[in-house]
Amino acid sequence: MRARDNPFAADRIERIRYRFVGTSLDELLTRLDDMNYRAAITGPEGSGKTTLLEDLREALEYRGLRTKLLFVNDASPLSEAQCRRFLSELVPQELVLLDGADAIRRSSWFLFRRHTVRHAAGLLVTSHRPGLLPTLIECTTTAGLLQEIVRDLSPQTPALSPAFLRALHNRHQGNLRACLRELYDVCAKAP
Amino acid sequence: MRMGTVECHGTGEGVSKPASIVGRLGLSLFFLFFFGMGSLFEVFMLRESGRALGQRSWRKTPCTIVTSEVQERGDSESPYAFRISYRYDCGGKTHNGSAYKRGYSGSSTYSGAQDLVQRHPAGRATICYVNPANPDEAVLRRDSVLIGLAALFPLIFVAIGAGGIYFLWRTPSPAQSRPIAAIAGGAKGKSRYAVAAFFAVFAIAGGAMLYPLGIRPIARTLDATSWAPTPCKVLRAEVRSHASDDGTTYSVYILYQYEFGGRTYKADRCDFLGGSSSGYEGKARIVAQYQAAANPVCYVNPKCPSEAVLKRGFHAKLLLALFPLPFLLVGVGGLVYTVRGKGREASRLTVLTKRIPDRRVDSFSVLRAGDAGQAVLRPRFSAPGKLIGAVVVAAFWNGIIAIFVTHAGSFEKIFLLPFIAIGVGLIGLVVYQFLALFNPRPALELSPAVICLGGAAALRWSFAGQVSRITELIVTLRGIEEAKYRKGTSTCTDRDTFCEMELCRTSDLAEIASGQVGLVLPGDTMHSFKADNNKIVWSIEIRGDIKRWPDVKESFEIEVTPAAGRQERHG
Amino acid sequence: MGKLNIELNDSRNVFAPGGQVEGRIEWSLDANPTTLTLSLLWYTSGKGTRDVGVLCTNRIDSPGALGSDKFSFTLPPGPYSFSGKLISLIWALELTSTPGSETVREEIVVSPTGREILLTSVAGQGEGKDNQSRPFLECILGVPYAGA
Repeated sequence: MRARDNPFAADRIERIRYRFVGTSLDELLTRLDDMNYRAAITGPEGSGKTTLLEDLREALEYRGLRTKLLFVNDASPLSEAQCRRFLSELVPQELVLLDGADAIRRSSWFLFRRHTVRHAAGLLVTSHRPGLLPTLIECTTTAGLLQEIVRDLSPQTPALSPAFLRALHNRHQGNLRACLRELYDVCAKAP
Repeated sequence: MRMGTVECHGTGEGVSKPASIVGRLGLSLFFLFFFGMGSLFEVFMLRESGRALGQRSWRKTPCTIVTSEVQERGDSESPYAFRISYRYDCGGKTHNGSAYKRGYSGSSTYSGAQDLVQRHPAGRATICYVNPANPDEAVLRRDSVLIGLAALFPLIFVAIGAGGIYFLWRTPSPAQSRPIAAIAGGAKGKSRYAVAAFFAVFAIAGGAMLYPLGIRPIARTLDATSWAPTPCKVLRAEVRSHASDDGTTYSVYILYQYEFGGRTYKADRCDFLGGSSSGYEGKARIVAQYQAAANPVCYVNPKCPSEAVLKRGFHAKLLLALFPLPFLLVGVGGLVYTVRGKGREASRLTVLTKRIPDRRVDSFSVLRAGDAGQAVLRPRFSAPGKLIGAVVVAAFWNGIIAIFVTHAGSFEKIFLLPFIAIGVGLIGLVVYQFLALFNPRPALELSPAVICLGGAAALRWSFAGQVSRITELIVTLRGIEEAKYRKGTSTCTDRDTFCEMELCRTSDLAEIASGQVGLVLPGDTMHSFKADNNKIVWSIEIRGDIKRWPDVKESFEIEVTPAAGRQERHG
Repeated sequence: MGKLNIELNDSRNVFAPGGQVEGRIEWSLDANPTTLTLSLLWYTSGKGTRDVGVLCTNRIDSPGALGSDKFSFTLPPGPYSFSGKLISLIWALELTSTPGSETVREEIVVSPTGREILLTSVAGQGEGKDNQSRPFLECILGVPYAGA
C-alpha cells in the first residue's frame, strides 16, 4: 500500500475532529464563557486535547473573538524571554490559547497567568494534569471511540475487528494517537 | 486539509514509564531502596546534629591539663588511646574531667593519638565545656555543628526515592510521560533539574573522594621531599586484618621510634595514603622487609618532628588518586552539558494566527547533476565517539549501582541483581566498543562525488590496520525512507529500507585490503531528499566479518541527485 | 456558490522534471476576491508529519468575481513524485481566493519515468532479492566487478 493511500496517514489523522460524548461544542463554549474564558482542557496523552483546542479556536474565531495560539512541548520549553516577548505583543482583545501549559517553566506560567488577567481576553490551556486553571473538560477515550474513528478512516479493512481494536486500545492505555500510528503500520503491510 | 501549518516540535526524547505492573513494581522497589537508605541515614544524621547542637549550650570553663599521654591497649581496631585528665572549677566546686570529646574511642595509629598529646600537653591551661545539667560532665572538644550540613546529603536519596515512586504511580495512564534524565543528551524542560541533580551527586562524590585519595596524599608527598631522613628503630611490624561484609582486607602496620632534636618520638605512618586492601602476600613481604632491615630510615618533618613517614616519594598506591576522576568528570561534564543545553536549544516559539497556508521555502537537498571529482566519505559515527558514549553510560549506571552494592547486605543484593545485570551488559558494550577501536578502519572514495539516478560511479576502498583479520567483506548500497512524527512530547523517526544492493562480497585478502567496484544506480527509484520531517537517505555500508571479535560496521551517507538532463515527453 | 478551476493543457498531468506545466485557471465567485493565488508546490503524506515545499506563486490582485487566466511554470529537476511505505511526495497546483476559503487543487506527477516512482520495502520482498542487485552491477570505466 502506498503511503498516501494509507488510511492512517498523518494528514488524515489530523483531519479528525474532536468527538463529544455527553456534551457539545456549543455547550462547551457556553461553559467557557461562564468561566470568563479562563480554563484548562485536561487529559492524558493522545486523548484529543490539542484537537479540541483547535476546534474551539475555530469556533471562537467564527464568533468574532480574536485568538493567539501558542504550542509548546516538553522537549522545547518556552524560555522566559520568549514568554515576555509573546505577552508584550498581546492585545487586550486577544484570547490566548496555550497548548502544553504543563510543559513551560513555573516562572513562565505565573507570568502567563498574571499577565493575561489584565492584558488579554482570557487564557485557555491544555494540560496533562488538572490544577493550573479550572477544568473546562477532561478528555478521555474509549475503545468504542477508537472503533468509530477507524470506521470513518478505513471502512473497508476487515482485519481491524472490534476485538483487535479493543486490545489495541488497552495496550496503549487509551492513547488514540499511538493506536492510530500502530494501525498505520498494520495497513502498510497490506498489498 | 491544513497545509503548511507550522508546528513546534521538540527533538528531545521522553522516557516512557513502564506500562506493565511488574515493571512498575520493580522500579518501585528500586526507588524504595533509595528512599529507605536515605531515610535511615537522615535519621542518624539528624540525631547526631541534634546532639551536637545540644552541646552548644555547655559552659566554657577554664581548666588545667594534669596528665596527657598515649596509652596502648589490646583493642585491635583502636589500639592507641589519647588519655587526658584536667581540673576545672564549677559552681564553687573543683571537678576532675577525663573526656576528650563525646564518643572518642581511640586511634588505630600511634601518630593519631600522639598528635592529640602534642596539642594538649600536661600543665597547659585551656578551655573545657561543662554540662550545665551535670557539672561532673565535661569535654575538651565539642561535636562539630557542621554535621548539620552533612544531614542534607541523605535528603537527595530520600527525594529521588520518594519522587520516583510518586511520579511512577501518580496518574492512571503511564503513557503520561515526563522526560526524566536523558543521559548526556541535554534534558529539556523541568527534567533538567533532575538531570542536574543526578550529575551533581556524581560531582560531589568525585570531589569528596578526590581530597583524601588524591589531593591530600599528593600534597603531603610533595611536602615530604624536604623532610629529613632519620635513622629509626622498628618496634613492631605486622599485617593487620580488617573484616567487613565484603570480606577481609589487610594493611601494613609498623611502629617505629626515632630521635630528632634531642627528643625521642614514636610514629606509625608508613605512607600518606593509608587504608587497607585485599592481598595479604604483598603486605607480608613489606612487613618482613622492615623486620629484617638493619638500618631503617624514616623521614621527619623538621617543622613538626612528631610527624614522620617511612615511604615518601611517588609510588603505585598514589595512582588511587585517579579513582575519583571518572565520577568527577561525569558529574561536572554532565552538569556543564545540562546547563549549556539551554543555550543550544533553538527558539521554537510558534504562533498560529490565522488559518492561512504557510509558504515554506522548498527544503530538499541541493540538486547538482553528477558532480565531477571524488569524495572521501566519512562514517556517520566515529569509533572513538561510540566508545566514549558507551563509557559515559556504563560509568554512570555502574557508579550508582556500586554505591548500593557496597552498602547492601546479602539479602538486599538479591533485589539489585537485575540492575547489576544491566551494568554488566553495559560493561560488555564498553569492551565491545573498545575492541572495535582496534578494528581496521575503512576509507572510501566515491567518484564522482555525487551520483545521479541511472548514473555510474566507482567506489574505492582501503583499510588501515590489521586487514588480515577480516574474513569476509560485504559492501552494500542502501536506500532508506525516514519519517519523523510527534509522539506525545517526544519525536520519533521511523525508517524503512526500499533499496538494498550488494555491491561486493569477497573473501580475497587483497581485495579486502584495497578494492574497487563500479556501480550503476537504478533510474526508476528516488534520489536523495531532505525535508524537516521526511527524508530519503542513500548510504554505502561496509561490513567486515572478524571471527571472535566485533565486526567492522560503518555506514557512509552519499548524495544521489535526480537523473541529469533527461526530459522525456510523457502524457 | 463559488467555483475555482484549474485546467491543464491537453489534460496532461504527468510531466518530466524540468518540463513546462501550462494551463488555464477559471473562477466564478459570489463576491469579488481581493486576490487569487496559484501555487506550484509539493507536499508529503504518510506516517511522518507533513512537509510542504512551495516552488512558485502567481498572484492576481483584484481579479473580479469572474474570469480566467493562463499560467506556465517550469518544473525543477526534483523532487520526483514518489510513494513508499512511509512517505508519499505529491506535486500539485493549488488555487486559492482571499478572502474566503475557496481552494482547488490539481495533482500532477513529476517523474522521468512517466509515472509516480514506487518504492517497495525490502522487508516485504521475498525471494529474488539478491537477484535484483545483479542487473545493476556493471563493468564500467574499465573497473572490474569485485564480487563472487
